[in-house]
Amino acid sequence: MSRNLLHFDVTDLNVTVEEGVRFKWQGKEIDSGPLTIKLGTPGSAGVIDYDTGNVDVEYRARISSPALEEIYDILEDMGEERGETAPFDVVIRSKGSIFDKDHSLRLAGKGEIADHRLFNPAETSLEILAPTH
Amino acid sequence: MSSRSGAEVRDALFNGRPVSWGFNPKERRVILQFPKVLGGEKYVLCIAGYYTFVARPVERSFIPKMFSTDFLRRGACAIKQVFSRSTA
Repeated sequence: MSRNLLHFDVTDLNVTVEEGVRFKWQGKEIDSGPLTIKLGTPGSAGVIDYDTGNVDVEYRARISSPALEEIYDILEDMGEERGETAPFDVVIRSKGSIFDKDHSLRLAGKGEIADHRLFNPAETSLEILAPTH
Repeated sequence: MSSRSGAEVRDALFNGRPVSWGFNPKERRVILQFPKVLGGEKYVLCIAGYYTFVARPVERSFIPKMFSTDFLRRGACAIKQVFSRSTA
């Protein structure tokens, strides 16, 4: 039985969280500034199954912000290895469905945080919610 | 990110053209939990932007390989040989 599959690469991911977040570090409250989520390490890809209408995709993403970059620089000045402080990489595995009418995608997924000195994977999580429509 | 029909989008993908989808910037789609060292807060955030898919080349080479340049060249050589034998 042939499957109506389309294997694809994710060639661009350009996401911004304009509002940013306020977090605490060493007793100070810091405004992250806009967070950006872009493609990180190579290999972002997925598959669309047109027989079932399902989509599976893996985004290898990198999250950054002006304030985080400053903290990485400070830690580096304090003698931390740059490799332990940057970048903040996450693999987001999303699943969802396609709507035939306009081929819109309804994807939701969870992130797997890479080892990171600040963003301890055991305490850090990222979840992408499905769109409401 | 366009008003194309589903069939048009699918056709674009199967023909190797990049297709992008956007996020509704007013919709809270991301839950981000920061570690304790950064305050341990949980944020529910709106995201703006897009992502782009392009079918892998193997998907685009769905056209039978019998039409490949190499196949046609070898075919032309074979025909030439047949004709050269029959006229010898």
